[in-house]
Amino acid sequence: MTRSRAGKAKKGIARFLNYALLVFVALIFILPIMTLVFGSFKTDENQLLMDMSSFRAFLPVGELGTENFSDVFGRIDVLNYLKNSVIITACSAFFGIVLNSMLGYVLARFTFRGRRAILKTIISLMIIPMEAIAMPLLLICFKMSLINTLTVQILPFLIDPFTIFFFYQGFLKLPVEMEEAALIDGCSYPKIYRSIAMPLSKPTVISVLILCSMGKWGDVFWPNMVTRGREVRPLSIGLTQLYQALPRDWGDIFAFALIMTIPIMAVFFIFQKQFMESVATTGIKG
Amino acid sequence: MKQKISRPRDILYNQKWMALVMGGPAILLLIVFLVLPFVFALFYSFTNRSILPTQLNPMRFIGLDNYRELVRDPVFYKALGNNLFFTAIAVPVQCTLALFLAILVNRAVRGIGIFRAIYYSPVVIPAIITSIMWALMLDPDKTGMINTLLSFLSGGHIRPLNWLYDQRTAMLSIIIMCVWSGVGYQMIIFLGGLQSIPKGLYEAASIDGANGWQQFCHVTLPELSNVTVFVFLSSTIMSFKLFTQVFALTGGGPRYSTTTIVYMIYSSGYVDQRLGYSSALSVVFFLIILSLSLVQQSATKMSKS
Repeated sequence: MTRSRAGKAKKGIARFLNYALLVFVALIFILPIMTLVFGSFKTDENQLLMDMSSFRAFLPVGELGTENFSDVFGRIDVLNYLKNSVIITACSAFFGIVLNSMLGYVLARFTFRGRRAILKTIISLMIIPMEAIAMPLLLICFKMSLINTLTVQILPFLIDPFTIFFFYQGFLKLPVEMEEAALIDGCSYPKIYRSIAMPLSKPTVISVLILCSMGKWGDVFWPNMVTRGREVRPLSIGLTQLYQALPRDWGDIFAFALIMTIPIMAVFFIFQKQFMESVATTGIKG
Repeated sequence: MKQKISRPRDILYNQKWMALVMGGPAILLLIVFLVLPFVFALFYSFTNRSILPTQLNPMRFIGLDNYRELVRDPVFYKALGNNLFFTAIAVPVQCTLALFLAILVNRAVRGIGIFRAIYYSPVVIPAIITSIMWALMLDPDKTGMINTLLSFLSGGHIRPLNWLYDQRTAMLSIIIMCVWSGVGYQMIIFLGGLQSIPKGLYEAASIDGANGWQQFCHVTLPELSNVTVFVFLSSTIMSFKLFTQVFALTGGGPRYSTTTIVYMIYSSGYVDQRLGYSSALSVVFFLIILSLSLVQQSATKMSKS
């Protein structure tokens, strides 16, 4: 009797310690994000900076209000940056998924001459890092007079050998019988791809969607080089400029950063369950 | 199986035609925006090409001059050293912490999904934002939270550091922010590895009287060796691409202490407009990534067999 009670108590303590550790680690990740969230509502610039040296940074204390937001909206055209980021990210994700998956499907399902050669080439192209081709690519985009457009921030990186291969592998895992049956029933290949193969590849699509969105939303390297005016620049560049402009207004920077964080966080939390499973099982993105 | 095409509609049922229609656009874009620039990078690395050649400075072949300049360029060695330093510290630290976190969240308790998502969430925040947040936390003035914390924990023994503004600690500052923001990614991959270890192995070990630590050493680690190799090498490859933090916070300084290879590609090509020299750097950078990838492939093959 007493032993089982002691055992229970021991288990209870173990569980408590377990949660305590989980929460403690969670704080390490959450607290810096909280400084961003609460900081953006702290209207007194001096107070905001003073708070940063103590745990007050993690709390919504002091004068709070939305002045930073109205200030930053008044200073720069936030909505335009936001619009550009949304267009660039959405188009990149959508067309990227369609084009890469179609090639992946073709390679996984069709027989034609050169299939193996194309597949092998794509696998070896996976090794080329984007950073190593950026400068000549800049020149090519310049020659195509794509500089300072939204297109130049979407088109060059739509096709990604890794994504093609990822879709290819996903399609190979699907049972081919259903597609064969559909073909006998008179379904055309594009229809089979769209109504059978793609719906069954939902986990792959979600992973690509999240990875592509994350990469595009925060990218600084490429947009910084190919854009000049603020008309076509994304949030990431807007934030960089806001940060590099002196004297810094930290309230405005925080507000802008929060505006930039919320959409991508929303996308992540909507799909996080499927996404985490998919990353865990495939170890994607190397 | 040969199919005749008599009506336009029949194309939709022909594999060869559909391969062209569905795969063609991707192949075309791949050639224009990946293969072509890659060939150009090789080509330009043997020229003195600037982004916009002028009449006074037309493009001409200069043989291996760019590469000769490269091996004499002290900044190049500095950048290479910085990359190696970053990798040597960040990758082991990040992987060890990631494994610890993965074990921590690899249990079936209520709400564990939320903890996994929280640990992963810094990965989702754009690097530019985490950089700026950490720059403020690492501020050398009174506002720096990290300095305050260190001073508090050490009872005042650790003097405030200059972090990003000191060439001795600038790279370390970037390492700290990268480990914090990136560790969730490796955690998830380790978690996947942990969950694929058969439960029977642990049962057998505990019947044999192995305690938790022994189970970890003799079951978990050996079973995870594939995943560990993958995580280690892919993190190494990623760490060589370090750019955004440097670009936003330090501009490669102070005194080139945070200049990386990719930052050099950017500054020589875009800022200095020296496409030829930048291309030579790109080729060297590609060779580094290529050799890392080859190591990764052979290591993966070895650990599989």
